[in-house]
Amino acid sequence: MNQENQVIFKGTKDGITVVFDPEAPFASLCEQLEKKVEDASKFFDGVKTSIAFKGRVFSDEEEQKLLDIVCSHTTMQITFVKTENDEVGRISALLSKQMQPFNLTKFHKGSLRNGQRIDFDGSVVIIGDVNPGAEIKATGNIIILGQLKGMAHAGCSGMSEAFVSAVYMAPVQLRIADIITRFPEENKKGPKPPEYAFVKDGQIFVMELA
Amino acid sequence: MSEVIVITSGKGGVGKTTTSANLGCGLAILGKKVALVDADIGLRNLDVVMGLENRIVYDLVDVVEGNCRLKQALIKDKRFDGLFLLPAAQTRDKDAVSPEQMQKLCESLKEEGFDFIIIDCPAGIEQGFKNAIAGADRAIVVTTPEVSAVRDADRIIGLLEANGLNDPTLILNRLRVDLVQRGDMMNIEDVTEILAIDILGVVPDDESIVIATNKGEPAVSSQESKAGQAYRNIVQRLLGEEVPIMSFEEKQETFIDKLKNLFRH
Repeated sequence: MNQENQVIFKGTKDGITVVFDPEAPFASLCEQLEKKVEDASKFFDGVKTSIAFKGRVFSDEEEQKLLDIVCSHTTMQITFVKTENDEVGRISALLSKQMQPFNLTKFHKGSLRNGQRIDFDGSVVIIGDVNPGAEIKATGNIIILGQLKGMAHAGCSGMSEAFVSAVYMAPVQLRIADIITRFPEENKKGPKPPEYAFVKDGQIFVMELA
Repeated sequence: MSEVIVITSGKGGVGKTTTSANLGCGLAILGKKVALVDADIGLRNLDVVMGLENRIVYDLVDVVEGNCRLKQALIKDKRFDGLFLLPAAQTRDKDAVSPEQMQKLCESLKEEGFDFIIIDCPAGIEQGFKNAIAGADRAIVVTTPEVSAVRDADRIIGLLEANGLNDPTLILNRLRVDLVQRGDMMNIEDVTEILAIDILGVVPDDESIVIATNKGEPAVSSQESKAGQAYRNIVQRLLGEEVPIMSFEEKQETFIDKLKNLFRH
C-alpha cells in the first residue's frame, strides 16, 4: 500500500480532519504525519482551528504524540481535538459517575409502607410518609416530604456529608454514612417543625429547618 | 356483576374470619347471592363460625384437584338462602393450591352467578396469602387498634398494592370505647393516619361476638348486638350506600344523673 495514503489531510468547514489508515503501524503513521505537516507548515502557519482524528482509535499517549508532532512543526493553534474515542461522551460519563451521589435523585411519590424498601445510588426524595418497618438507603441525601417513622440511611457508601431531612422526623433509627443512632423517644411526640440530620464531629445532629 | 373481595390482615386473631362470616351473612340477609371461600387451608375456621362444620363433604382442594364439581363442594347455609360456603381442606397445607388455580376458582364462582365472593385470607404473607389475593378484585384489611396489628396491616396494604389491589379499605375491629376515651388505646384517627386508606367501618369490642361465634351464629343477624349493627352498616357501605360511622361515645353520667337514678329506685 502506498505509504502516502496512510495519513490524509482534509479541510472541512469545521476545521482540519486527519484520516489515518486503520491498519498501518503507529510508527509509520507518525512518520507520515510528520512529513506532511513539515511539507505544509507554511500553509498551517498561525491558523486557529480544530483538528479531528479519524479512521482509527488512539490511546491517550498516542494521541498526545500525534498532537506533539503537529505542534512542533507548525505554529497552528489547536482549539479542540476531536477523536474517534467519543471524548465528550467519555468525560460526561465520568462526570456523572463522580457527581452521582449529588446529582441523580430518585423521586418516590406515595408512602413507603412496612416492609417496603428503597435502595438507591444517589439521593432520594419521598413525597409521602415513611412508615415504621420501611427502609430507605441512599448513597446521597434523603428528603422526606412527610413523616419519617421508619429507618433512613443517607450516605450509605460512606459519604458523611449526606443529610436526612423530613417534615416530621420520628425515625426508628437514623444512619448517616457509618454512624447509627436511635432517635430519642421524647422527640417523637407532639407537633414539631421540619428537621434535618447531619454528621458533625462523628455524631449525628438533628436541627430544626429554620 | 360479581365481585371477589378478600378479607385480610397480616396478623392473626384480629377477626378476619368473624368479619368474613358477618359480611357474608349480612349481604345474604339483603338478598344477595354470596359465596364464602375459606382460603385458610390446614387451619380452617370459617365453617365452625358459620356452624356448618358437620356438613362438609368436599372442600376447596377437592375442587381444585378435580375430585368433585364446584357445586358439590359449595355448602348451602342453614339460615340464609343465597349464602354458600366453600370450606378449606383441613388435612392439607397451603401449598396444595397455586395462585393460578385460585384465580380459576374465582372465575368459575363468578360464572355460578354469585353477587359477592368473599375470601377469608389466612394470617401471614406467605403462600396462603398469595393464593387468597390471586383472584380478588378488591381487598378489605381488618385490623385492631393495637400497634402490632396496625404495623402488619401497613405491610399487607403495601403487598396488596404491589399485587395490583389498589385502594383497599379498612375495618377497624375490636375498638374499646372506654379505653379510647381514657386515651389508653389508639383511636380511629390514629389508625387512619398511619394506614392512610379509606375506612369501611368500625366494629366495637363486643362480647356478643364471642357468644355468637361459639354458637356458630354470626352476630350480624342479632338486633341487640352493637357489633352486629356495625357489621350491618359495613354491608350497606359495601353496597354503595352512605352510612355514617356510628358513634360509640357512651354518655358520661353526671353527678346529677346519678342522684336522679338513686331517687328513682
